[in-house]
Formats: sequence, structure tokens, C-alpha cells
Amino acid sequence: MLGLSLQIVLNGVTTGLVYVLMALGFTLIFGIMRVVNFAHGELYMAAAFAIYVLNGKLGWNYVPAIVFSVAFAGLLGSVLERVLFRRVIGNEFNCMILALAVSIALQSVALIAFGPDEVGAPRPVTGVLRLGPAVIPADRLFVGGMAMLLLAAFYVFLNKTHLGLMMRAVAQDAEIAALHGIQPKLIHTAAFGIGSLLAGAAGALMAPVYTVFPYMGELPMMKAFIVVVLGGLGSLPGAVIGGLLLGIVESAFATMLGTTVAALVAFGVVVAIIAIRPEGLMGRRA
Amino acid sequence: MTGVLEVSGLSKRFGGLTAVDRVSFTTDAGELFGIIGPNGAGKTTLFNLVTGTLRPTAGRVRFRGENLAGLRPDAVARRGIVRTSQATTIFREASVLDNLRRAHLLRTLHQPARLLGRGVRAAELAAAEAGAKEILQLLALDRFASQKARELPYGSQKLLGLGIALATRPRLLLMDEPAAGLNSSETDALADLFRRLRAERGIDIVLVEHDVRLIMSVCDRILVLNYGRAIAIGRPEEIRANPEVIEAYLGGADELA
Amino acid sequence: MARRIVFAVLALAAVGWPFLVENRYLTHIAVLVTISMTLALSLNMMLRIGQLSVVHAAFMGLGAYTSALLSMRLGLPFLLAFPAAGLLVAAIAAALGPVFLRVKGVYFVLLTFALGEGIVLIFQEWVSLFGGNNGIYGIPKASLLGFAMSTPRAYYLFGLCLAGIAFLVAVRIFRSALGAVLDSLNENEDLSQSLGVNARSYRVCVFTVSGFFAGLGGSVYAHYTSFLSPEAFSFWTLVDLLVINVVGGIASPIGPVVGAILLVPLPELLRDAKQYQMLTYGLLLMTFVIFLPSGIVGGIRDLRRRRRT
Repeated sequence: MLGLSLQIVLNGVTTGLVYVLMALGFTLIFGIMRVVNFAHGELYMAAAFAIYVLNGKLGWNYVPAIVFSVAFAGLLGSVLERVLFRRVIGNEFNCMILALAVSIALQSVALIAFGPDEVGAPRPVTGVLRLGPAVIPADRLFVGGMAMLLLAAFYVFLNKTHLGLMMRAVAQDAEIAALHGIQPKLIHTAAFGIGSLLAGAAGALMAPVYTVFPYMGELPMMKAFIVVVLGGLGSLPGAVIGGLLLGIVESAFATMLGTTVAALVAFGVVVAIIAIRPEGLMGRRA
Repeated sequence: MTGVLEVSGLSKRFGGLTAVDRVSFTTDAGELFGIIGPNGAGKTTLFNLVTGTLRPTAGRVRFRGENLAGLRPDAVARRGIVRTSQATTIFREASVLDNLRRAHLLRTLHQPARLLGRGVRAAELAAAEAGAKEILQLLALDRFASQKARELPYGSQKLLGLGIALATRPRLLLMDEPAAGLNSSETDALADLFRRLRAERGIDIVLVEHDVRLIMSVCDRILVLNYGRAIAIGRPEEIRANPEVIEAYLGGADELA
Repeated sequence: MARRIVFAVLALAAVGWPFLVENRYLTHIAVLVTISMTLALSLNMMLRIGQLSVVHAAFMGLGAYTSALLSMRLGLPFLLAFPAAGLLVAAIAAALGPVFLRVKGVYFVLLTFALGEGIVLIFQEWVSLFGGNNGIYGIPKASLLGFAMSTPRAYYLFGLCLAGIAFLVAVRIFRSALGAVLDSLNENEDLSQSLGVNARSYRVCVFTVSGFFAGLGGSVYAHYTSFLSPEAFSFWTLVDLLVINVVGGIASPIGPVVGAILLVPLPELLRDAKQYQMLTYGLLLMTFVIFLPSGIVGGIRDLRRRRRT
């Protein structure tokens, strides 16, 4: 019993950390720009394909491949903001439609370039680790570890660097931040870039774990939604707590009742939360 | 005797900040009641609590004996409490006359069920038209009748906001800084208007204001808020002489004179 | 007056052309156009009150499956199954509306997304009722009072009527007193509420009516194609409807009508290149949202207004 619980928790935390990465990126973009980036999952996918191509097809070493893939996602995000989202930022409705459009366009580009079939990216680590009675694949552990490192780096960035502090100021109150000389436009591009970078990191890390295909971003996007709803749109600590919570709960349900039930339960929870307390556990009103 | 608006022990806390702290007062029928206080004293929050825009952390609000707890803003409005606020209380894209006409019509169209099987009959449209014109005259906005609301000068926009509120035939009018941005002659006209509204239409008015001169000249009783607490309540002369009030308005003491 | 003549001529042409041009393929596409038009109009009602609802494809599916099952399992004639489908979806919309419409903006999108995906998931997993991923075959053809509708032309005329009714309802809703209230809510909700308008009731009303038409459209679809699978009601179908609205123009019901006529035949022409179709839709949406957010119809109106002044 302990073994099973430990297994569930370990699985849940490693998956949950990935959800946290996705959710953080998503909620960062929303918190600073009030943009709901439906294309967030496609940045996950873009980085996954990038590492598949670089590490898998072109034979690059893992380290430069993943760095490049993650940077690629961040850059793509920044470009999307600068060229597209900036033009509709006043209007929430149009923003959402644009985000949907970008999502569709990116998916179809991937479809055209790579076809609909699933492909595999090479694994950087193999084997399993035994933690007492629980068994955990080494690659999952690797993903979890890297995710934690990234989260720590992100935390440092947000609290100790100049740009990070400026972002937090803009998230709190854009007008006052402007009065202090902070350029919102620069912050917006940076926020979109960093949010996308986090999604890309999730995608590049997860690419070897399952398979890579054009629609792979949809599920993580949904998970990010759920986490963000749980934790509150715009709340960073909420995203962390929500992500871990979702990972563990899902792991428990999936292990015991199967993935379909887990999915339906997740849906039900989302609906209940939005209907009863849209701000989530820790968020503020949108 | 049940007052018109009874507020008892009303409090609102936002996280660690107490915006309104156990405020109690009761307004009398036919009274012009004023609320003053320095910036951040909680005046607007208090209004929001009464109209249902915010939920109180503690305390009660009763209007004509009926408890307003938990009612949403539209439900509160249907009971006859209408407010004007500093923010947009006009339909910017519509003409002035349209604004008032719409306000009249909206008064009867609270729920979609009222539309079942009839739509809006000609008689109602005519009544709305007449009512709109009447308010135009009352507020001396006739010359703007066909202009878009957003093209009006600021002071007139505020008047229009007041007109919209009047169109709904309120029993109690809550006005949040109606004189903000008005010059002294406009403010005097406003004061006259308030007296007329009370005398001719029997509308009770509660006024939140920064312009102490206006409040002192037109209100029967005044409540003074500071840091969310009620520090004094009474007639203008009493308030003027109250040392706590004078201290709260440190630096603005000459305003009270 | 001139407008009425134009309208009458167009209506006549719309009804008459399949009798003159006896092309089965064209008529088939026209049927799909009318069905999409009805669905797009139902979505348009929600878009016009500023709510991006992404559940309407699933609503269509609900109507389709309901109509199919009622006629196959209970032997109900089309004349009963058809309205029943619409009413069932309307009932669901009316039941969920008060909860869902508590929220606006992105939260509403998320809610309707969850609902839509949930409904499709049920289509896929409840195999005994809905046939799972294999769907339902052999849905009986519709028949109206003894006249079996067996040709595309029959379905086209029926679909055209339905679309016409949906169009008229959409126009009436927004021109009437209801429309005035909805406009007020759209323009300044806080003010409208402070004047006593119950915003949520009004939105639920629109949601219910739009659900009704989505269900009806689904029913026609079911009896026309005789085959249903959950895939037909996925998020992608909704994206189609959204593109139709954005390209045509959201502000007026004419928008989705024009959009449907322009966009529905397109995939039939680009049949082999589905991924290119997706890319086209994505780019279309992007272009219109950025450069012509009021759509074609809205754009024309703006042009005329500018020329007048």
C-alpha cells in the first residue's frame, strides 16, 4: 500500500512539475497582458519538434539541442507577440480569436511539415530507479529534476533580476508601472517570450518521454487551463500548487479508475470551480 | 421609526486591509444625507456595499425595512436604489435623448420574461419619450438632445448620468462625487437641483462628496468617515465644530470654515 | 423599397435554382451550406452578446444524435424528432445557462470548452447508446407528412427554410426591445445592471435560443447524411463556424449567411489537402481579426457609412 501511494505521488509530482511549467507560462502571459494564449500548447509542440529534429534527425548533442529548442520556443513566442498579438491587445474577444487562429495555423504548419504520424525523440537517459518499493523511470526523474531547476531559475528571475521585477510591477498595475518609466511594450514581448519559453521547456523535456506529433500540445494546454483555473488566473503560486495538485490527483485517479474517468473528473472539477469560484484558489478577478 | 437606509455595523475587509469598519447610520425620510471624508476613507466602498457591488464582510444594510443582504446590483436597483458613480454612467455611443429613453425603457425590462409575447408597446415608447424630454428640461440639457453622449462636456456628462438615474424613478439616489470636476457655478446649480429633487419628486438622496462646501450647504445631516470608521454624524454646524473632524482634515481645516 | 425587391429576388433565386440547375453535387454542397448557415447563425447570437461559446458544435451533435435515436429506437417520425432535438438542446442550455453565464470572457470560453469536450467524450464512450467512435449508421431519411425527403434538393429546401427562420429570429431578437437591452448590456453592463436589468437572465435567454437552433441544425444533418460519428462535432467543427462568423462579420446576422456561402464550398474544392484547409482557416482568422475585425459585411457597412459622411 505504501509502495502504491509512493508510486502515485512520485508519478504525480513528476507529471505535476511539467504541468506547473505549462501553467506558469500561461498564467504569466495572462497576468501581464490579460491575453489568454490558446496557442500555448503549440509552443510546447514546437519545442518538441525542434528537439526531435535537432537531436533525433540531425544528431546534435542533447545539451545544445534542448537549449536551442527551448530558446526557439521563446523566440517564437516573442515574435508572435510583436507581430500579431500586439495589434489586438485592447480587445479581449479578438485576442482570443487570434490566439485560436495562431494555434490552428501552427498545428497545420507542423502537419504539413511532419505529417500526422507520431515520431519519437531520443532519450537522454534510460533505465529505472528504485526508491524503496516504488519504481520510477529515469527519464521521468530527469524531467522532474530539470523542471525543478527551471522553476528555481524562474523564481530567481522574477524576484532578483531587473526585468523580473519590472514584470511583476506591470502585472500589478500597468499604469503605475508606466509612470515609473517602465515600457509596457518591452515587458509584453518579454513576458510572452518567457511564458513561451517555459512551455517550450515542458515540450522539449517531454518529447522523449512519449511521442511527438502535431496535436501533442492540446492535452498539455488543457492541463494548463485546469491548473490555472484551480490556482487562479494570474497567480503564480497558484499555478505551482495547482499543477502539483492536479498531477497527484490525476495520478491517483488514473491508477485506480482509468484515464477516461480521470479526464471526466478533471472536466467536472473545472466546471465546478469556474461556476462557483472563478478566481480559483488564489487568483484575483480577471 | 424605520429610517430609509439603515446601515448597521457594516464592515468590509480586503485581505489585510479594512476599508470599512463597523459603520452605522440611518437616514430619515426626506433627508439629504451627506458623507464626507479624506481620500481612501472608504466612501466609495461604502456605496458599493449598499448597492450590492461588493459583499460585506460583516454588518447589515436595510432599505425601508427590507434586508439587502446578498442581493446583486440589479436586484438592489429594482428595489429603488440607484446610484451614480464617478466612472462611466452613460451610454457613450448613444445620443443624449437616446440615453434617457433607454433608461426609461430599461426600467420596465428587467427580466426577459417581461418581453414574452408583447415586446414594447407604443404606449410605453411614448411614455419613455415623454419622460426623457422631461428630464432633459429639468437638467437643462435640451440643447444636447441629439448629440452623442461622449461628445458632451464633462459637466454635462455627469448631469446626463444623473438624468439616467432619475429616469428609473428611484426612491433613493446614491451619488458618488457628483460635483467632481464642476466649477463653482455648476456646483451651485447642482445644489439647487438636489433641493428640487427632494421637494418636487420626493427622492431621498445620499451624497458622497469631496466638495465640503456643497455638502455643508445642502445636506441636512452629514456622516464623516476616516480610515473606514465613522468618526462623526450630525448636522452641518455640529460637524463643522467637531474637533476630530477638523483633525482628520488636517491641512484642509480652512475648507470647513 | 428597393431593399425589399432585392430581398425577394434573392429569396426566389435561392429557392428556385435547384430546379433549374439539376446538379446533384452542387445541391449537396448547398445542403451543407444551409446547415452550416443555421449553425453559424446560432453561434452568431452568442457572439453578438460578446460571449465566445465553443460548445455549439457539441450542441449540434446532441441534436443530431437525439433526432437519430428518437427515430431509430422509438420510431418517431421526423416531424416529431426534429423539434424534439431542438427542444432537448434548448433545455440543456437553459439548465446549464444560469451556472455557465455567471462568468464572462475567457472563463465562459473554458466552461463551454469543457462542456463541449465532455459531450463529445460521452458520444465516444457511451457505446451502447451512441455507438462510440464508430457512430450510428442507417439513420432513416426524413419525411414530412408522408413526403419522403430522399433527394438533396428536398433537404436543401428544408435546410433553407430552417436557415431562413434562424436568420429571421436572429434579426428580430436584436431589433426588438430584447435587442435594445442586449445592446445596453453590451455597451455598458454596469450601468444597465445598476438600472435594474438582470444581465444573466438575458444572456441565458439568448443561450437557450441559440442552443435550440443548433439542435435543429444537427437534426437535419443527421437525417441527411444518415451517419453520425463523434468526430463531426469536435472543436474543429466549431472553428469552422467561428471562421464563418469572423469572415462574414459578427455584428449582423447577414455576416454568417455570407460567410457560410463563401466558406462552406471551399473545403469541398480543396478536398485532398485537409492540412492546407486548416492553415487557410488559421490565416484567414488571423488576417480578419487584425485587419478587418468587423468581417466582410461589417466592412462594407463601414465603407458605406464613411462614404455617406
